[in-house]
Amino acid sequence: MTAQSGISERAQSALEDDFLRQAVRFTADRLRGKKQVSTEQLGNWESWRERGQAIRAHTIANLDSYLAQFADRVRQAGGHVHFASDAAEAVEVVLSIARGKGARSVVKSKSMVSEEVHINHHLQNAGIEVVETDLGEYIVQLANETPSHIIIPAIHKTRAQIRDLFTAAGGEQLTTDTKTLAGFARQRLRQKFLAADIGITGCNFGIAETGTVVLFTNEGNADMVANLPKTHIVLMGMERLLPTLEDLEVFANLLPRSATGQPLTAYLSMITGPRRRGDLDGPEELHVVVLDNGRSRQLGDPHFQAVLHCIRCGACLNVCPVYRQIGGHAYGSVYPGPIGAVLTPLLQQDETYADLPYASSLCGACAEACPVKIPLHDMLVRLRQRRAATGRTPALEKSAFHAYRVAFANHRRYRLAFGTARVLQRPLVQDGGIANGVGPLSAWTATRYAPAVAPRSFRARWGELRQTLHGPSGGSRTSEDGDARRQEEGTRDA
Amino acid sequence: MKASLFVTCLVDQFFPQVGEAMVRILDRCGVTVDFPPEQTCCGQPAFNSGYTDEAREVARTLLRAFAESDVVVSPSGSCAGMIRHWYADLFADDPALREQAEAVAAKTFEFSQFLVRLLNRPDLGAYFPHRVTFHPSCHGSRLLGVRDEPLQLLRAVRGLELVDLPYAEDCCGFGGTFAVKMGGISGAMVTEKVEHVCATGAEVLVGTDMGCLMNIGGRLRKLGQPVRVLHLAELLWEGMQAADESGVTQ
Amino acid sequence: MREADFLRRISERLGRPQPTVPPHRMEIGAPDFWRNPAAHAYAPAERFARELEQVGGMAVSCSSLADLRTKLHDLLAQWQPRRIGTWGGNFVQEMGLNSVLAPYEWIRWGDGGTDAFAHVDVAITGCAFAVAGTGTIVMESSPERGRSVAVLPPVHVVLLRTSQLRHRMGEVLEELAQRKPVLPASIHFITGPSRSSDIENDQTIGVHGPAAVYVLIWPDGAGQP
Repeated sequence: MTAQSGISERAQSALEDDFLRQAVRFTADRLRGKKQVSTEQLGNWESWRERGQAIRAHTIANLDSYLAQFADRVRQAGGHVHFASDAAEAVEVVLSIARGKGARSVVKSKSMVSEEVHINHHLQNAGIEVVETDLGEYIVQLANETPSHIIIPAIHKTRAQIRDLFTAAGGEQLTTDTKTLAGFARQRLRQKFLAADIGITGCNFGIAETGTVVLFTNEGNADMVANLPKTHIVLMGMERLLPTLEDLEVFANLLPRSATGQPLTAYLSMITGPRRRGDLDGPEELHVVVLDNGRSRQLGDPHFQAVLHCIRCGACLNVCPVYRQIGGHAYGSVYPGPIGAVLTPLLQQDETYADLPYASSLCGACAEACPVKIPLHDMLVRLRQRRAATGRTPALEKSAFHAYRVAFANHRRYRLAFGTARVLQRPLVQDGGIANGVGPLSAWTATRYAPAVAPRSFRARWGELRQTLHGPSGGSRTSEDGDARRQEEGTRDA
Repeated sequence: MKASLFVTCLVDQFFPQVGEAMVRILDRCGVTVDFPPEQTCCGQPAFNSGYTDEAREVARTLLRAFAESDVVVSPSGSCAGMIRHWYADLFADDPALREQAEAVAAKTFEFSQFLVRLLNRPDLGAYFPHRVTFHPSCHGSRLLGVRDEPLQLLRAVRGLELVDLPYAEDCCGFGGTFAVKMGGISGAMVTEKVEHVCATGAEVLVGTDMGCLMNIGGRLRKLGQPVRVLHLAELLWEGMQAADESGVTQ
Repeated sequence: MREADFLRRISERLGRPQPTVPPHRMEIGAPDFWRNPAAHAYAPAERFARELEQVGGMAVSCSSLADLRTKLHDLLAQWQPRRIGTWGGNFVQEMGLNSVLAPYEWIRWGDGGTDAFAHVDVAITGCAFAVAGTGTIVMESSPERGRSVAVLPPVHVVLLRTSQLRHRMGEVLEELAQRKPVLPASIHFITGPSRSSDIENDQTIGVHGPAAVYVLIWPDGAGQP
């Protein structure tokens, strides 16, 4: 799904998809529950988060230096490092390596950066077969879709749909049994691994002091992608670094527990350069492509630099009540959920995703779940500020807040405004509520009653109320009390 | 102790009985309550929509209203959270106003927080013989850190059966202008919240924020569900009066 | 983009003309309470076995190397693999496994290419370390210890000496850090069998890597670290 429509329209079609909503809720519940258990088992979760935040903040604040060190170490270990300013440059680097090798087939493991630069599309256009090897990504690829969750890409697919996709891909007599389906993928993908010319992986962390690329997976596919083809290309966001090996222990605790509630993923792979002299497997060449693509713009920004601390665990998706209702595709962006609603309009600062920061009730569950304490809630508010400051928010909204300013910045005008509302609401009110609102209020009353303005405000009651108090509150009435009362009684009579 | 009431625009104009219940409870606790009439709104509706200038101008009504107050107490965790979490930032460009904003922020408390932490009065001697479930509002708990205080107050109420709300910490879908701007998503969220409320079999839903409660209550009413929706102050005041009448003692 | 320009853009955004040496930091690696041995006051072999079994692996405790050979013999007799693959070099001799393997077709890493290991039913290897707290084994690559040995076959049997056990991952990372500047090309932390929950959240094992991981632990007399 593209971002040509707005998030509201895309959300609406998601809201009508019962399987999707049920699947998203089920998955989110499962991951939330497992995360809770595994963080409680570890203990001191807040201390771990604080340590994670401190390490990420230090790394990003010194990213130039750590990136230079990382590149040197990768080269020292025999690898090549490429720097890509944007998606197009990253694609060009990959294509030129592929052309140089005369590559005909590429195997990939899950990588959000590869989604960000749409590498599959470009490789296929160049006549190169690309095969996703993560089970979920493979399913999504066969369906010609994009991932709907950072960690569980095929969250939105039923097993019957998966069986049909696998059958279309050549599977024979497949049942909807998980083992059978996974078995087909294993057998099919094994052939692809062994035949591929190039393997492309992402990079969960790069260790600056050793030039090591660290990958976390559960299936073991990233190891095969990295080990079996003669050329291994790593696509990494430039912010993915950790200064030292020791720091990795913190993130080996934070990432899997936050993502899936596992104490550790089945595979944690550390790759330092290509195969060594005498090695019989491992890639002959290792290329690390470091991508900026809008990231450097966040550096030095007091409010948004911390978005680069993100470790892509997906914990914010799993607790987000909006994601829970609409799933990932409704965001229309590569990165969904709260982190997507913040990161996407920061990386791509045009109109396309300007509405994503509004897809939040600002409940703050995301920030609370974040293992490196990114204030996502605050960032969503600040992105709205940024948007409002451009003057491109809807005219109706602007005039509404203009009216709010006029009415609410002074208590006398405020009373007058509500006095008027008391009059205007009369045709709509039944039993103190409004069942069917008009204008913007109808978006509310589609699912719920709206309250009516009370016959007398608190401030109009205050004068009488204070007379009945026991404590020394009772005292002389101010003119304000009288004003409020007269005004409201006056408008009632009007 | 003296305290100024920040009643919030929502309670002032739509739910004045909440403000009254709160004043009566505070009065019973020996607090001298005043109501500075210059107050209107904390500015959050505009602020959360990105309209900072509008929010700032409205927020100044509170800086003026509460300049002389010892303590400010409010029936909304969300509005108190707005003041505590954002006011210094909102007035960051003007040192004098920023100082006033920080001063107001430092002395602002949500109602249950004020009772439990400042007055140390978790037990008001109330009697409320009903099955009750509690929705913790997001801003109160996450922005302001008020988590256990409302529960302490409820647990102390005689006759009250407190049942856990499943997915209690999930947002009800209110989110201010979000409820209108993203009405479909908001509607789906409140629909799920109401399913959980009904699953508890509670007669009464209680909360600490009228924004959330009018949202959940509006959905309950639309469905014809006979669940009473009460602000914590309303429940406690009703329970204190019931205790007076029935002679249930502390 | 040229590296220098790329880095300069970052430096400028961070308010300096070029990269500067990062300031000294106090917060490196795990929090202090986690580094304190008191936080890991458990017998590592038992903990390792429990954690491994939690994630679907199997730990087999052996009283000696001779006992290990017997237990390995019994496992293989039960499985009747068509082909076994082991580490290369002197691994089999050092462990005294010749007679255990004799009834089966078996190959060593280096006998033929990687493809040969794609048709191995059971891989038998050692490891570099194990982490008790998570039930993890650590494999390092070398010419005799190919990366593919542990990943391609459906069953992986690891022979673990108790002296290789550490309580937490950080201890392993610290020891690896001693080998800077260049680490082994490939280091794998493996925790149980390969698995996926991508199909309707239903966990399945052996998606790409092994479906079964057996770790035979034997006391090598070198004492605990």
